[in-house]
Amino acid sequence: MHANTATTTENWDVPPEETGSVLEATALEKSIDGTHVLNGVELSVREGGTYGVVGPNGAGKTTTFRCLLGLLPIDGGSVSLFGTDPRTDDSVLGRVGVVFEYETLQPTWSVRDAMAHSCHAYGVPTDRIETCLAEVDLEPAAHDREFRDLSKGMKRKASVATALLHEPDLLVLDEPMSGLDPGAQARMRELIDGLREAGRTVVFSSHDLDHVQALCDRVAVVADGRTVVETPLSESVRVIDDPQPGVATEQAGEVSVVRDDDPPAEARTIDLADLYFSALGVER
Amino acid sequence: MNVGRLCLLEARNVNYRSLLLSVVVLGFLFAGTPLLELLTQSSLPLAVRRFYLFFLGFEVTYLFVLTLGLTGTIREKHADVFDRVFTIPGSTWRVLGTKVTAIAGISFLLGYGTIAVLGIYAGFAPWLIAGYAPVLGTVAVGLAAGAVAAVLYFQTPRLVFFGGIVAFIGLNALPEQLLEWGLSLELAVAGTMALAVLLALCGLVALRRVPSERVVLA
Repeated sequence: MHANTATTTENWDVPPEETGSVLEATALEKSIDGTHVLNGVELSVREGGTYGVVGPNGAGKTTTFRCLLGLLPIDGGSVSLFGTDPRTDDSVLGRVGVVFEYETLQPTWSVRDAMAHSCHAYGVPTDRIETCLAEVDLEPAAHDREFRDLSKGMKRKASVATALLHEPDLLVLDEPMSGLDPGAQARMRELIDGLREAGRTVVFSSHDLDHVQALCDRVAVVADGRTVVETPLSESVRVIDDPQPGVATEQAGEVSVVRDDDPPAEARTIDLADLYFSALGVER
Repeated sequence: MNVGRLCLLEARNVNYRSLLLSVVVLGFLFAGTPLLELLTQSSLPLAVRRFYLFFLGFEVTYLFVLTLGLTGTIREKHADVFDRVFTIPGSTWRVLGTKVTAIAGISFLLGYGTIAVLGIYAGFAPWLIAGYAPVLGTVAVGLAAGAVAAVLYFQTPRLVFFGGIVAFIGLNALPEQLLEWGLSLELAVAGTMALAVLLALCGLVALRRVPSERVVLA
């Protein structure tokens, strides 16, 4: 489906060390039950940015996140969180908040108790519970209800609030919009936007390209366990269909991009959907 | 990490509804076997009665660990709670240890409380009943740690629960069997104590070595 796509992962904008690299995955490989699930995933997340990971079902996004968090040992490549390998020093996980694609709070506990568990585990005061619940705007009536009795949207909010308790520098959200109705998706989008504005670094995966386009300043397209394209989505990076001599272009997967404050007239802003389908080698 | 508060939180959220199952099984146990008569029968040697009391404490503690500990932990495993637990920095076994402490603490109180009441009713010396406390405490910790570790290790944790129930039935028949085999009571008590220590050691070692990959991919 995407046999003729090239992997372009070089960091051709600001080098990581200049802005503070938060998360780096290099040539990540992982096999599960003899199947190569990851076979060359590359991610590079800078401090303060919002980073999107997109790809078809089964591309390896969730496995990538699990490897990044040290939940799964890797077979090849390297992982770095804030310059530290979480497999050798898991104290770095104290700077990371995680929301899985599936719910992971204690189902029969009240939301407050489940959050208090995280507070005690991370050693933060329980005052943070109210602050974080307010930050995600979870209805007060839900605070003392058993987690399993909440709606999907409420559960997502409670999970995000729990991930924020220890004021992480990096938030990893695996498909945070999954299963939410359009209204709840919009609220989740506002929430991620708010986190970005608050200066937090956010990495999230999603199937909704519009959300990723709107929220992210950098994106990786992952397919068949490898990063097919990794590129910024900023205004200063544009796609050029027909590069002319004298115009410096670089490859981002199948497309040529120019990086210039004053791009040629024919250059257009990167459309994530175009990039996604061209990277996967399929018709839109 | 605030271990004390985590323990209290875990204790407050233990699946107390599962106690009902323990009560039903205990009812069958007491109704189906002449345990109370054995404990109070003055014609039996004191050593035999002591052994029965001790073994009863072992059984009741085992049952409470099984119902209180396993049902809640299995439910949490199915709800992927441990995926998040493994992302908490520091030693994951300490977080798991707070769960074990809560389960073991409550099971010990219930198990020891049961034999304390029965022991006093049967006229045993208080010092003898008090002497069983450390052993039953060790049993509770070992069983709880083993139970939590087993649920995390096994792909189908409900099998652990059914295995535990089957083992309980076997355990129930053990004291009579030991006496039939002509095993000395001192040896039987010492063996049970050694089993308790072994269980505790194995349980704690297993808990420290739970691989996150096995849990996450279950």
